Amino acid sequence: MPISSIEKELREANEKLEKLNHFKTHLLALTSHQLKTPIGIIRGYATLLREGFYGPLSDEVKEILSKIEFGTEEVVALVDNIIDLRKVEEGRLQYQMEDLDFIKLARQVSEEMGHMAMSCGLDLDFSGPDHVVMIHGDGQKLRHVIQNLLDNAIKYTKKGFVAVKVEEKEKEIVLSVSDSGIGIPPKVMPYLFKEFERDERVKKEIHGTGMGLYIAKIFVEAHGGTIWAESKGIDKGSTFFISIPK
Amino acid sequence: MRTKPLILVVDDEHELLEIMSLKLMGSGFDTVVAYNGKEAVDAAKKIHPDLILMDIQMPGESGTDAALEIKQNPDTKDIKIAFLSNLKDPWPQTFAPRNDLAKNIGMEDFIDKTGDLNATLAKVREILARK
Repeated sequence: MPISSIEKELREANEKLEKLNHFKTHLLALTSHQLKTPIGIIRGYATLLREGFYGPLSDEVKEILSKIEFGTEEVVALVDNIIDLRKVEEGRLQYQMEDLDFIKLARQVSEEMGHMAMSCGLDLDFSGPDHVVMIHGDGQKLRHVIQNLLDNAIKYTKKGFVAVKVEEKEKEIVLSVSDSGIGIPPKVMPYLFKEFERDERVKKEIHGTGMGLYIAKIFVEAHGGTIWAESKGIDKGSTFFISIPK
Repeated sequence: MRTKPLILVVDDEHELLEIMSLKLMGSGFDTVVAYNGKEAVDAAKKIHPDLILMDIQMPGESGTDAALEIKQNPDTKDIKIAFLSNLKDPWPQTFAPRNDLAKNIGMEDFIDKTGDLNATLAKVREILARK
């Protein structure tokens, strides 16, 4: 076959792929919007019910409503992770950097996820400085990181606790999320932050995609920070850390 | 004389309007609702709310167009407007983050509609406290 024909075929194949890629992105955006609307309705009514807007409820019903809220949050997080991953692939992820109080952000996210931890029978403690600690960062992205870490900690801990701790160091701020969960075997450690990697022990019983930590790493590193994990091994809990420069 | 801040909530989803209105009313605000961009523009002229929470994707006039129309009218230009949408890329032809874009076109903010209701409430309070 002459080279010019091969070139033509390759060009045509490339054009088809580009069209398909564009269609995929468009379909993803459309699906995510269509999915999020009913999810928002379910979550909103569940919150109003739990907070007593439609009358008093038993503690048992409130707990069930918390589980519904948690479930909807999981779906939203999944959709957001897929969209963010797509943006990373396309090289069009943007950061909105601003001066923000990191303590306030971490406390807010911990409070928001507190009732979800509670619905799973876990205590969620927050500790950190009482004063303001300003950093330069993208509030939405850092919120997403903390949510992903907390979501993991809650999912992989059957009983005990989840604790968020923020420490101010000389040049950085370090947030840690500790849990009393299933721990991390040493052989899994090198793959923790890789795309679609999940612990073999839990693949069947705990739903997840292996995107959360991968995206968290991208977001943290874009802030000039680092993310890492420590665990004493199986069933000995784990702690995830993020460090962001001040 | 207004005793509570008045918020106009604009959305074509009736359930989301109910959810947002109930939460806001239960938290010390008065609310009025509009189901599309045109109704929002008319309501803004009539009642001059303290804040408009504007959905973006609606049948007919989009939330973006309605918000710009309100901002271009000398009589309503000072009304605070925040977009309240679950669109990850509300303006796909642009690349800047949603909050930046909203502020660049004269709005107060962009609030994620699928977020926690109490976080939305905190954002509303923060926007109203802005000078």
